[in-house]
Amino acid sequence: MQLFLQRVFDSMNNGASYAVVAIALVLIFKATTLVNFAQANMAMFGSYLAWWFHGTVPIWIAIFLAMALSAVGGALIERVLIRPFDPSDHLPVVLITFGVAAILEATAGRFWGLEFHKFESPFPAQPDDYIGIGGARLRYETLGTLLAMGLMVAAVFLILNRTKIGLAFRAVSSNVESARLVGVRTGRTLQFGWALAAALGTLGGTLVAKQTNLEPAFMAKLVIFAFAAAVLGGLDSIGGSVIAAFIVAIIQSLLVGYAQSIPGLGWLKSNFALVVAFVLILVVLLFKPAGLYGTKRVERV
Amino acid sequence: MTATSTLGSGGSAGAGGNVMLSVSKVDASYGQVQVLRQVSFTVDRGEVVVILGANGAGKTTTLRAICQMVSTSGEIILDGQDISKSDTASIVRMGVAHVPQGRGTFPELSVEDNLEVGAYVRKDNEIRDDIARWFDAFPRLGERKSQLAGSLSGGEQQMLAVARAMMSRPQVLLLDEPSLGLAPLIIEDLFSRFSDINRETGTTMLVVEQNANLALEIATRGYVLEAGQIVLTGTADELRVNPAVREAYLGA
Amino acid sequence: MSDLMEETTTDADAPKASAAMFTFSEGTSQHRMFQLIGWAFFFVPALVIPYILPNFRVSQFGQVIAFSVALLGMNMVIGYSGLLSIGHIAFMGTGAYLTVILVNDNRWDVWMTLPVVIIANFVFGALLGFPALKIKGLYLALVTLALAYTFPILLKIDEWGIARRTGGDNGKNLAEAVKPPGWARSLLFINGRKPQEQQAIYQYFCLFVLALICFLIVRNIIKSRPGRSMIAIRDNQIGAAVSGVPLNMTKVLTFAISAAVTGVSGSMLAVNLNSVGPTSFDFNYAILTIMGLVLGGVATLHGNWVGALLLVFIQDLTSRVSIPPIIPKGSPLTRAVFGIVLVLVAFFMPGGVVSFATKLKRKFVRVIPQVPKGSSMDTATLSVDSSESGTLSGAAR
Repeated sequence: MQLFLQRVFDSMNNGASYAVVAIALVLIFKATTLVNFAQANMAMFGSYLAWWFHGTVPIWIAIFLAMALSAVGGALIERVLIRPFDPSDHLPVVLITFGVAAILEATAGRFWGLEFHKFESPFPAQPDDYIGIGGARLRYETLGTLLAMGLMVAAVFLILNRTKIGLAFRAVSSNVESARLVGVRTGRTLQFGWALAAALGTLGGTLVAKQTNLEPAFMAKLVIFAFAAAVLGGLDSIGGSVIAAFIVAIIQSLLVGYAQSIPGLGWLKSNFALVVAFVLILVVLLFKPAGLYGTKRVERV
Repeated sequence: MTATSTLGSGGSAGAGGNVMLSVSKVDASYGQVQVLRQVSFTVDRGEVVVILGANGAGKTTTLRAICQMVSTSGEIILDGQDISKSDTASIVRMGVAHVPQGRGTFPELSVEDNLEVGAYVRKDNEIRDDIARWFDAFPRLGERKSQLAGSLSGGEQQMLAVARAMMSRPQVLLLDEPSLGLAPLIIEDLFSRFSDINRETGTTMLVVEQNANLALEIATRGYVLEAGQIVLTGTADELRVNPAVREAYLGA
Repeated sequence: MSDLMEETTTDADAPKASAAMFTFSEGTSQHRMFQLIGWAFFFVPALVIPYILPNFRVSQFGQVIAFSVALLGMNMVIGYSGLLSIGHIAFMGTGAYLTVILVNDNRWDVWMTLPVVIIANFVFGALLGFPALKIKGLYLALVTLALAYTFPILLKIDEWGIARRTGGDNGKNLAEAVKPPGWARSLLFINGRKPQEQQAIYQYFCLFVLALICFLIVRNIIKSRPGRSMIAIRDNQIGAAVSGVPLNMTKVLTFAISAAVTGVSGSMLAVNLNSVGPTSFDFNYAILTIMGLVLGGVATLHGNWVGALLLVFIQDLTSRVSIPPIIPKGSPLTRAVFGIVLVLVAFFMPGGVVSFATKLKRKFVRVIPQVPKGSSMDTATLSVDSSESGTLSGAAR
């Protein structure tokens, strides 16, 4: 029981990170039916920025600055690289987002080197900074991460539901033609969405960087889990993504832990997670394409 | 429904004099396919004008042309201003509200949010009051105000769509086949509401319809559109007794 | 080049009636001459290259041939059926590994492995085709992307003897390189050359012939009824269904055939490189092949080899490019160049090189199609004037 609890607690940090990145993916997907394949590297770059700033300013200021810069970057990407294209033709945008991903990865490697960097934890992280529950340790760090995630999710929720631009964004996500007909400037609204998604991605990266260490590909694996979470949650539900993110994290933690003791499945432990995520995505899309919480789409003939 | 009289902005004299909307010699195409040919008509301030046409005649395109959602050549003048080169958002800001075919509600937004976003172009602080008044005018919407618009019935969605369009306090209301897919009783109710709105707020209305019985009853004048061209025009009464019109559009 | 080959032409590309420099009536001897000259431009260099270039270049062109078949397979699914499958590289890998394993461990002849590769990949493709039925558009792209990501990992699994068979991280070398037999040496006039050259030239021609066969087969499939069904599904799924096209069967069949073709390309690559490794079929290559597809021209027959040509050489160049002092050799920034190329391709060549070339050609050449005899509009007197929204106007000459 204690081991089980411990595994659950350990997974929460990941869960929080997946949640934040999943929301970023869902935001863009809901509004544009595009999947942002550059999300991982945008988040990576933002995390590097935070690490870089941390040399001169306190960690939380560094993170906020990085998030702000990421937002600007996201807005730029939407304006210059996404808006010129017909939203129903996915192929060019796939190429573009892959291209951006490659450029960001290369630039990070060039400026900050390809070796791992240690990312200092934004929370108290001494070995005895924890609460004991049922024999397992719930670290302050984990609590802090959960808090940060919670605040961010709350902020997103408030923005979407209580501000004019949030309303416009939801309108565009729901019916872009009608949004135009009520006078919404769809381009700018989407740009706002991209900016928000970029900031979210960066936060997600910084929350997990302390455990995985910074290197140019560190977000790539994480984003697959975030995708799995987003798909499980329905790809168009923000609340759903959060819940799904924790489910994915817990399953990952439990399975990795237990698989080590099952012969024949040892290979799972190193790349497991990916395969599981892949299988999860596949299974969900096959049997419940709307995910746990997504809205079912009715196709009228 | 006297409380709704402040909900419109019609009735004030603007730059265009008596003519609210003037469309002259407009062609419209989708790519290589030309849909409208030299279409011309006018709508006076406060009028209800109906455009009749069969499927494929170009009715929807006409309304979309006014909103510049399709490429056009020719002149389109709204209240004295040429809008034929403007973009949709600007035209909306100038006071045009378009209720597209199929309602065009925001299915994932609540009824109340739908109304609120309808007022997107407004910057005053009477939006909440307007929403309340529309709930008074359409009690069924008020009952469902937190429900998602996509879960409403066809008739309710149409009412919502119209209320949403009116939320921007438009000068002109464009309605694209509002009766489509609705039961006859609901259509009757709907059209009497249109009449009320026009009477009490003075909002100019351009209604495009296939089945014209009720439309002609609330309209002052009408045009008939066939294969992208205006082929007939007259007062509502004239059109109603015209044998060709009766046969084609009134099911007589 | 025959007009029949390009599927992505639109009326908007056709020039006005008398703008063309050359006008041919379809089927006349002048037209045939024109087509012949066009083919000569392609075949002559293709046949001459192996004799005049150094070995490693010939080998590189062999890679081009292998990838052109890969793109051919991918095009069936992405271009002609509109199913966004990014993971086809996995089929290529399957074909490649199957060939190498069978040759090395079971002592098969390389060419004997082809039928097995075809069947195996056909089956895998069919299996994958079923989920593809339920999953649409971008979701499908996601899933196949995950497949592309996972494939190299699966190859390296230690358990169940998999890594042993596949060579794991290091890959596997082809035990017996494909060498030219006596009769081939005479046929190709290479008797006087060094053995390495002989091998390179022979391999090149083997691949070339194999590729030609694949292209012909696929071309016929596309022109046939199932092929047209595929295209109908791409353009308007619901309309196709309502017109009686068996949606599910067609989609699955498409996937299966395309997988088989892509699988063959994998075997070809194995022959060409004389080895296989997990990095030849990873995520990176998945993107590269898509880029090649778009660059060459989605849904065109010639786009496949053009795309392959560009793919191989761009990859070669971007891995070696250096713009000192900004981008020193081997710097991670070479990846940035690759990224920039992707972005530029998306912006400027959405139709690919082939569609650009087609537009160019139409400025100079116009082919008047023949109408079947006995119809009310008689032969050779019609001009298809597409500037008038696609209506046919009869003009007596």
